[in-house]
Amino acid sequence: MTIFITLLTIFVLLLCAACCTAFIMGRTALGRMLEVAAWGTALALFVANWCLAQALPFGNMRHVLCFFPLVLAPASLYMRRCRGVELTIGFAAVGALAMVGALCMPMQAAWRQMPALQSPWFAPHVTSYVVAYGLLAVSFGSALLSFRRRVAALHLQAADAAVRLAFPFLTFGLWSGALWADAAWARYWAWDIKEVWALITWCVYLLYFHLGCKATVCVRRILLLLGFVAVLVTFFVVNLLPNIVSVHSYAQ
Amino acid sequence: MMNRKTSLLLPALMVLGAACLVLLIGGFPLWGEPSVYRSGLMLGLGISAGLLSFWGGWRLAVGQRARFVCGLVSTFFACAGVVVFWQYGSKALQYTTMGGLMWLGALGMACTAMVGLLFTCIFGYFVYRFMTRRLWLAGVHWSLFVLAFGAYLDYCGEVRAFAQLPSHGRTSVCEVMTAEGEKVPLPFTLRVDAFHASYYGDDSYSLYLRRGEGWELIGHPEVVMDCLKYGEEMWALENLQSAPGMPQPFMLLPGSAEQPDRLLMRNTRPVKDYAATCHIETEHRGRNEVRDEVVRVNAPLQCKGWYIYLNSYSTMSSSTLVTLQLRRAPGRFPALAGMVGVILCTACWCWWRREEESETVEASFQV
Repeated sequence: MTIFITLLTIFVLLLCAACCTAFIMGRTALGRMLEVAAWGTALALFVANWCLAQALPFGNMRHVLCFFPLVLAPASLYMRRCRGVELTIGFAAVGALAMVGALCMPMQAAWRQMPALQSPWFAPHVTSYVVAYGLLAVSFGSALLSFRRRVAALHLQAADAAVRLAFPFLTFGLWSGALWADAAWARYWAWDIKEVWALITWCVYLLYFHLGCKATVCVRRILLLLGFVAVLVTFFVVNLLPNIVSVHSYAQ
Repeated sequence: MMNRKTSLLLPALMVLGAACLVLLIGGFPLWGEPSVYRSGLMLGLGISAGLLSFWGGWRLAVGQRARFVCGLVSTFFACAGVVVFWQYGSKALQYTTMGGLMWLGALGMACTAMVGLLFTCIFGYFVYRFMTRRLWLAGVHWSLFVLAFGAYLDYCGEVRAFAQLPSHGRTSVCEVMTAEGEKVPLPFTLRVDAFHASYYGDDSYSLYLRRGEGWELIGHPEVVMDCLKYGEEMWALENLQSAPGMPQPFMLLPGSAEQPDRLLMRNTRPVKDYAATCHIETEHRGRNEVRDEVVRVNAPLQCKGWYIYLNSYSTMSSSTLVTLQLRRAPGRFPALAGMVGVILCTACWCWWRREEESETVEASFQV
């Protein structure tokens, strides 16, 4: 089973990378097909992870990273169809990076869901954060691309669209976590390091929204980059740094 | 010269920047202590953010305040309808599986759920008519104000205490002591009548051999019927005993001149679930009221303004010592309502798509 999961992970990675390459080469139709194939394989990977974990596969970093391509493809479709922003290449790149990260993480067999995690808030809380972080990664990529002068406005607009789609998910993740903590730990806010960094991330994007169009292009870029740095610290650094005491330590 | 909107934006940006800075100070535990958050600085920032949110929401709804209030009231009723539909709908489904005359109850529940759905549809239409993106943004600000207000109430008046009760049902508590050493009387009497814990996986055991001051693992006995078997030796499972300080049931096997002491112990297994049955006696309108309810990790009990949470447990020789957390939080309801409001209003502000308001609204919230 573990070999099968590893193969599926590699396959999703290759499909996402191929999707990026197809879009770079201007083969849009092929890119779309590869995107659909990557999503289907990511779904199979999710099911395989579920079977191995014998529970909803959100138990460790590997599980969560494997979930990224599954939620990013619908987000890409939504951005294309409803917002008119073509960001498939960005979504595929983020999916591929997530798969690289997943391959670097150790694979655990059955996952024991502790009592505090057995809550109806668990799945929506994790899912919303995965969607938000994926979209914010795409906005970060667009912000980086906006340094090319000729297409700066276009990329900043795309980044803004991604942040606008991501922010409600980020908000839901933050405050649903507080609602959940109120039921499980008897306090909605415990100043845990993970909570603090999630709040810092939220505040940085609040700054971005407050400044809005008034801010110069440079300030908007800086805020988008800072926001994603905060996302990375929240998602990776807090979990992977040793000797950090956190009530979220089960996510390590 | 600053206009009124810009003059409000500047302090908002300053408060947000200061909040980020203060949060960063404690964001690295190797650099600083999280106690910085509990200082007066954070309290001041919270109050400033709450007041600015209120004022920001008020300014954003200028010229449309009646519409805004109507929209918020409609939103409340639409959400209440969703809650009623969800709660009574799930109960109706639960009753239908019970069979017998319970289908009558299920029918009643289903009718109530339908009323909830009707409420949602009617008030959802009003929400659609009244609210605009700008007003949703005002809603986000007011929700943040309500959240900050609730958090401040909790900061000022929250009472939190722990009670450790054995699960044999003979010890009850009617007052608790807070961390500051203050005794707080409870409006009820609480005791734990039963406790149940379930674990992942089957029972497994380990056999240890005394080596100097410590114990060395030498093997894992197999469970055969009601006995444990290791090599040629067998021990009855019923002889395992519990003791304070020992995490699991064990059996000490005295040694001889040739062989040191051995220790047989059940292995620790990951906890799957635990629950305590609480017996609560209280007074309601001059009459005694008795409640027997089960408290779980994600499902606290509520009684007379107090919340009872199941925290942890430890095994004693004859029973289990259950740790309950008792909390009276005057700001809990506004804080949670504010959180729900922030989630809902943010989603509507970012995703609201009505054709008649496009660029004008887009430009107006960008102060």
